[in-house]
Amino acid sequence: MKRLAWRWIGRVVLWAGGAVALAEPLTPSQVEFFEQRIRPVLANDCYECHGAKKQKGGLRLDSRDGLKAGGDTGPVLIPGDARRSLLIQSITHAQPDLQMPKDRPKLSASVLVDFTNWVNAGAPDPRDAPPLTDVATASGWDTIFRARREWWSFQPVQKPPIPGATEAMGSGHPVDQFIRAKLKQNNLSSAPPAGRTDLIRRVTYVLTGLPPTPEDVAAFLQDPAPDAFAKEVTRLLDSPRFGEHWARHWMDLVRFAETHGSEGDPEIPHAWRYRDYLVRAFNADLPADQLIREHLAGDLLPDPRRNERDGFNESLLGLTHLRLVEHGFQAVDTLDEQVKTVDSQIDVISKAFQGLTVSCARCHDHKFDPISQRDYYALYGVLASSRPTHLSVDLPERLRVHREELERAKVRIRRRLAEAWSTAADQLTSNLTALKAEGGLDWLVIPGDEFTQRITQLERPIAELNNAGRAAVGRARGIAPSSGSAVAPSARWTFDGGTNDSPGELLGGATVREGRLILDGRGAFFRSAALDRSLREKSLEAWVWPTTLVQRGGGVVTVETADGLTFDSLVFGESEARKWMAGSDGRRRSANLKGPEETAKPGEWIHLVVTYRTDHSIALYRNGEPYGAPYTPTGDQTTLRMFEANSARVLLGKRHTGGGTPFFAGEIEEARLYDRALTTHEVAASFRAGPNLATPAEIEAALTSEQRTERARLLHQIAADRASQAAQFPDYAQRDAARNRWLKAFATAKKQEQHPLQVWDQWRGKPDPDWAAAWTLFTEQQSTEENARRESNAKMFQLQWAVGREETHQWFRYGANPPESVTRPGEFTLEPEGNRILEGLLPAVVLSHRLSQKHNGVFASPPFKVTTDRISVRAVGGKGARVRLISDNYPLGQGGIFPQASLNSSTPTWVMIDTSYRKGSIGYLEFATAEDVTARDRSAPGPGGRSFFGVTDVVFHDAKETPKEELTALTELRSGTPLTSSADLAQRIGTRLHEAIEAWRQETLTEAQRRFLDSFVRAGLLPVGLDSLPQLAAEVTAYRRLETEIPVPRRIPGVVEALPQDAPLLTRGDHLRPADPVPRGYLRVVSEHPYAADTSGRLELAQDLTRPTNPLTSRVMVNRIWHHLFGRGLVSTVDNFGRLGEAPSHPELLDYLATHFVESGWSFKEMIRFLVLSQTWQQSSDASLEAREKDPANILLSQARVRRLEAESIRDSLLAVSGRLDLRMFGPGADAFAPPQDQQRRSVYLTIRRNFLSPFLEAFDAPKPFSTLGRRDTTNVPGQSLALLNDPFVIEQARQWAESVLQRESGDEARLRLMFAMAFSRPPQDSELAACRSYLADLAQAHGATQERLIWRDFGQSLFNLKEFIYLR
Amino acid sequence: MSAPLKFRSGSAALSRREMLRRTSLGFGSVALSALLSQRSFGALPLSGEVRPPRHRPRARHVIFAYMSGGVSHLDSFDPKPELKRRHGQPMPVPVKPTMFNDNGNIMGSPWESRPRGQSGIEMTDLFPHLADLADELAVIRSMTTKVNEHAQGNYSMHTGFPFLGHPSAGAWTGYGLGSENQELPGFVVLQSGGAAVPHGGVGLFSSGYLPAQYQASVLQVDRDPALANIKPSEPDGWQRRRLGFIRECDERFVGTVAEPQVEAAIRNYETAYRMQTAVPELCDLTGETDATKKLYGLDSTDRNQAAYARQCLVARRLIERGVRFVELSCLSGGIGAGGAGNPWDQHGQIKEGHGAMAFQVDQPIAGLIRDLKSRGLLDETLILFTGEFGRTPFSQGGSGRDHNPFGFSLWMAGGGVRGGSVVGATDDLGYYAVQDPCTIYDLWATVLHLLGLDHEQLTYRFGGRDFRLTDVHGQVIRAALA
Repeated sequence: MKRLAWRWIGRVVLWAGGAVALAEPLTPSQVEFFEQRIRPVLANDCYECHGAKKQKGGLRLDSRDGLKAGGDTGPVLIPGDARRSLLIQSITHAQPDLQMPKDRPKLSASVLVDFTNWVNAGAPDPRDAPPLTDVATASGWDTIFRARREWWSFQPVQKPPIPGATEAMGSGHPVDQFIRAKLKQNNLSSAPPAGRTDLIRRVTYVLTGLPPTPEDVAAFLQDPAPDAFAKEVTRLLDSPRFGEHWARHWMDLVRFAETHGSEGDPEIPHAWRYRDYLVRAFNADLPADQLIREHLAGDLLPDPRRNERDGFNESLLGLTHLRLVEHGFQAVDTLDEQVKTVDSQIDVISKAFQGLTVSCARCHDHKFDPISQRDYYALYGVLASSRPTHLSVDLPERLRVHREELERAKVRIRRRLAEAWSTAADQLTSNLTALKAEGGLDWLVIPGDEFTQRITQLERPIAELNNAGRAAVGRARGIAPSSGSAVAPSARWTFDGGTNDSPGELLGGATVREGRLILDGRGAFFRSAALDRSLREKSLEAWVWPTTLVQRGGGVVTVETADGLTFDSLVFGESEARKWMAGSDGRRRSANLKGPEETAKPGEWIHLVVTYRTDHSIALYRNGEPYGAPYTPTGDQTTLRMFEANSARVLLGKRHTGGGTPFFAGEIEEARLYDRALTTHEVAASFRAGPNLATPAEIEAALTSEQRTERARLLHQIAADRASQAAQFPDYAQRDAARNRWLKAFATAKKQEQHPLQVWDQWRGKPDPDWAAAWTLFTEQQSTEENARRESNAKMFQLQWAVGREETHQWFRYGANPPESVTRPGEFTLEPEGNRILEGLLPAVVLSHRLSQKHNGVFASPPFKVTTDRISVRAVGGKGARVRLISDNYPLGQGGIFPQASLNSSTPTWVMIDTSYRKGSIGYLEFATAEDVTARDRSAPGPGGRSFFGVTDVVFHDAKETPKEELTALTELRSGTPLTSSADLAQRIGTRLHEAIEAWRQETLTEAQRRFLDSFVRAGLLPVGLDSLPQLAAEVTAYRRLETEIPVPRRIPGVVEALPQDAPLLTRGDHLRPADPVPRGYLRVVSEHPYAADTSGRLELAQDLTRPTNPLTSRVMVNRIWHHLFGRGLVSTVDNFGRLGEAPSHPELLDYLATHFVESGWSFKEMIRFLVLSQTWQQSSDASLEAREKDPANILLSQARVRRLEAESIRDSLLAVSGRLDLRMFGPGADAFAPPQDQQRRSVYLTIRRNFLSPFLEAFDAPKPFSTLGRRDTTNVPGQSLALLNDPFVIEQARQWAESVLQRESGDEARLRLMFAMAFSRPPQDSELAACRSYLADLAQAHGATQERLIWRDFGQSLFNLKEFIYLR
Repeated sequence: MSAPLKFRSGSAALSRREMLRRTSLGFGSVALSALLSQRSFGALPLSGEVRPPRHRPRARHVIFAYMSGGVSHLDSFDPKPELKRRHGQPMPVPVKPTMFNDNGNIMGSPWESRPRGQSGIEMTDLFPHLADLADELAVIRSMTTKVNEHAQGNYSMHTGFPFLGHPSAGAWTGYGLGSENQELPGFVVLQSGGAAVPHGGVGLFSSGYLPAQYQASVLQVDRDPALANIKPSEPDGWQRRRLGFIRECDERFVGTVAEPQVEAAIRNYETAYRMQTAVPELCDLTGETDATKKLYGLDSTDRNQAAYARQCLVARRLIERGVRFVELSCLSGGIGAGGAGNPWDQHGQIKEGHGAMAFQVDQPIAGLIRDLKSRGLLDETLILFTGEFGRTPFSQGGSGRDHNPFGFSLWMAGGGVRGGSVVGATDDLGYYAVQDPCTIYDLWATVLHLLGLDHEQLTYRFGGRDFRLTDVHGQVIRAALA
């Protein structure tokens, strides 16, 4: 009680009145005493059950009359006689069955004294009436607050004098002085110093989490220097192992995990970087206040920490802890989800740094501590004002490398392109002018064409011969001629020539080896270009080889729409392990085929076909035979899907874009796609024919001798023609290529709606007399059409943001070169590889990749309330970039109920997202490159980490269509005098082109000009290929080389500032009952200053948490250090310094240390050094009989505490002793479920998945990552013993240990001595040696004397089983 | 004021001398027999406070038949003729947001329904065996839950909170009542035939902040070993010798530290040693008669039904051995989105999917009830059958149903339950609970009540707060009690 009251002492104003009749007017001092001492306690601890709302036991204490009247059992108060007053009896717990306040801690001793004095003085009570109910909350809280803030932990930290500092007492170490003073008060004394072997073992474990090596022990024992121990401490503090061990303590505080939990347990990408940050921080002795500041506002600090070696902005990494929250899967109610997320953040921040349980105040004012519900929502607003995102941890200059050079190069490229285009425009004009009014393109005949014609004629019979040969090969393989392998696939991927003959991209680490696609099952897949024809009925076929049969849900061949939402796929082991199925659209059309489990052995190819028929039936075949039973899905969404040309694509190795665990591990020899369902017969034939079509040699071998001769003759003739052509027309090939390019470009342009050349092509045959009138009509129609579009757009669409053309300072932008504010029309981006230099010219746009597709980029709107059914954006983008509507900061949404779309176009295109589901919610639009999308699964980053987007407009609408483009490429042609002939038109095209090219060069292009010019660029009529622009090769190559040197940003989970908003107080914590907003700020008990309006307040929060006058932070931090060093905190409830926590056992010492901590720069290492150098820390764990009697829980520290090692230390010790510990630091986590022999890294580096926590570590009380846990449990469950007895991991370590000991030492005794030194840091005693020998003898008998390895393995494991191995003296 | 110092964990001191005395005897057969006579599993004194039961317990064990994925109440225990009448019509009331937002029209149940037993409870033909036992069941038709996704739904149903970290109901039960068996954990989750942990992971069976001895052990009843690390790594004689050696060395160590924790850890090895025998014995069904096996459906040619039947039979054996809380796990039929973690989740093909799932569990659970009854164990065993939510009256994709958290059914049977009763009701469409809505807190308040525990008194202090299985809610559902 004394401990609780220590702050009160000396402040009690003794009230010296005598017995006073209740009715008499009260003196001011009586009123003051009541108001200061009695009313707050009554209000705080009694009114809840004995007030306006409830009258438990018929008693009401909120007015004088109520108190006087008493309750059901009679009066509670006998004025002047405290001892007989029921009120006093109950609060002093004098009556065992009536202990008040109920279910709460007993009132403090000083309060009891006050009440006793008050009653003895006649209980003068100024309360005439109960408080008015509605006023009660406000004024009531104020009273309660004032009473509660008197709690010890809210008082300023004051450095107390060191007890007995003037006397000659003990070592003089302040810690010892404090501890011994208290021991002395209790007639106890300190234990003698611990033995040196115990000491070195203790300090090594406590500082590094690992056992000392026998060499460490020997060196220490042999060092006679008086500061030998201090030197050990320095050595250990300097060891990299220190940071690993103490980082793990911190990870307990922030519920560190690398997945979000819940369904699917989605990854928190890059979370491991935060773990590495902590290891570095503790090794570098980052001051605690800086560490905390970085946790709250690492992005806002004026002077962030630079890590030059790794090129990191270290300070950013602290923010990750805000993202280590659990998240619900597919949150239907995202606001509810946000309330839970922020609650978790508040819970961790308040417990970890303040030792307070602030999240108790979500639904109501705190029951025990001075924390109001308003406080909670003030803090809520701070945290909810930041948005979740990925941050790039790189120092800015690292990503902005070559920026200026690239800018300059781009200018040069533009200039040279303009020159080339100008020449091409001249050529185009003259070509158009020269082109005949009617007929073909005969002016494109070039000398030498006659040879080409002949060669073409000769090739036909060769092809027929080849076919005959191929058929013969097929017959030889047993394919009946009638069935043949005649069915030609629409597309085929053989990988025989890398990806050259199998067009598409290798992604996520996919490779091609020996003509096979190699898939790792972890992200590797192949994606084809968009299909050139639409598919409805279809067959998917593959020859495949699974790496393992123990894998789930990987797709082998898939056809999907561009957004990945509709797909047909051949899937392995998804709904049932080891079985094949047809996966479609979230299994809407999938069924259990009831086929057999796959049994293929490694190296055994399997042939698979799935067919989708127009009757909607689906069938699967394995090795030519039906697999399970075909089925026809039922229901209205189960019909065959149409996959549109130019957008659908094929994936190999991935179920579909957006699938949970979609990757297949294995190899694909060949895959084919057919535009119809193969028959059973055809499938069988294809299986027999095998994956490889006949090789040229096989074909040749299969021909008859006549055929062979004929083929040779034809080939000879072709060769001769080719030679002649080359001799007579040396530039033929070049001119032919140029012609082909032009023809292709012209054909492309003609197909494009509203392309100037389409108009020209249609009208070139029109007689001149009709021309002028037709032109006039045409221009009028065009103009009308444009006006109509404009009007219809204005009517149906609400232009919300024209981000390409107006200020967007309210938008949030993030990236290496943050999406540029506004670029002018005509902006372009350079293709990082390939023949094409650029795709086209862009309108005024906000771009992520103006210089490189590797740059990260996020561009997000201010928050808005979703009011329309749809939102459309006009954007470019690719390689996994997406636009999403993020409601209530929920970062993980996938699938239909989270409006979003992939950006898959290099031309500005309207993309629509359906927002009807989220109508009414608060959200924002986010454009992000693939790796910046926080919903990891859907992102499909391009090779080399490339991805990009650009945005021009955002419209809100209900209409089911997107806006129309208002201008066309023709707009530009209309201006000027009316035209009268095709020649006129050709001239006009030429003129306008020249004007536009010149404007582009000078960067004064208008949007109409941009469209006009772009239509020629995209069609290829103005050259953009390196093959036709040799003069740009050097420049472009140089640009690309510089671009490749740009590193891919290293991302971390983080948050960023957005438009700050105060949060409404949620009535009873119910998110559907928002009350008035609460200004952002911190807990009133610590800081009353309101936060600035224009920032979230995280920076101010960081300052409030770490200012020296904060009474909690320094106390909480030193107490945590003390807890880890001594095994129990001075405040044993390390996460709770509130009223439900334990009071400090040595309050003065706690304050002394807190002050010392701040004075020595918040240094963890210095505080640790200071504490372990005390004699108190170094004393023995032997308890005297007296100490056991008087202080059985050893709270006064008359001896050291015996402790069990933490889970990670147990595992690490097994590895360390066995010699298998891999001390590599940092990097992505190691698999906690790997086979025993592959588990070698320190436990701190094991990946922590919330749904799959390491069973070994869990058995030994490793925390479940859901809340701050500063003090772990130490339980005894049979699982621990079973693990140490039977776990293959433990046995493997024993085996390794035995091997190394057998190699190092011979002879039983030497081996035993070595093993004891390694496992227990001490030599065995004689009696132990005897016991060991006897056990070894029995083991020899069991195993056979020659089985030395097994004998010593079993023996070693038994040493692991000893309690001394896992308990520290 | 010079009040003596008070220490919270002072009670540990009382047992210390006792422990030291026992240690000095060594861990020979004397100590072993002393341990065997102990009635609490897990050796360490509880760090929380448990109030003694306030009333007579009506049940001593719970069997939790968890229907992961969400059983359609409309097709089972809460038939709605109105749905058949309105089949194919649009919903007459606004539809709340659903998981897949693929909401079709009203869908009548593919199953016929009629009154069952003496009590006349209306049920469909989906569970014919359970329908025969209608008079044993108390059906609650007005269940509600706050979440409509699986993982959070599973967490809510198991722990009262939607996220990882809180103790499962089985752990609370063990914490409240202790165990009657030294060799087996008090909370056991059974799996067989590849049944998976529901979405959310093994955290569903966690002890949360309660001491770790209350967490569930997951037994694979048809696998050897049934439990991780339970299979001795060496022959029995060798292991005894090992334990002897360990004991000899540990005694020396404990003499130097005299720490109750270490002593408890030493005893722990004895418990672990016995578990190695107890668990395989438990799963060995050779002693069961053919008639018993047939009753459960162990002889079924349907692999899933036979596997589930095995869980049910092992559950009875666990009850016989005094285990407090047993949870059963469904196997996936792989139909209509019902995957391994959520086999009842028929977003499509509900007729096929629910048909197969019901076939899997119907006879085994009915067999379990009959077997328990014939052995006189049903009176002391509470059986609870529920999923994490119900399903929508309107279709998803024409053949399935989406999640419905606003109204669904569960049933209880056995000790203290009023058989043949119905509590609450949903509206005519079975969309919302409209009469006597019940929450998950109410459910667990009721279960704890039947076990003789007051849900408001069963608290554990963690992080500065007294936590309960029922949070700050919960009313005992009296209407379901006998």
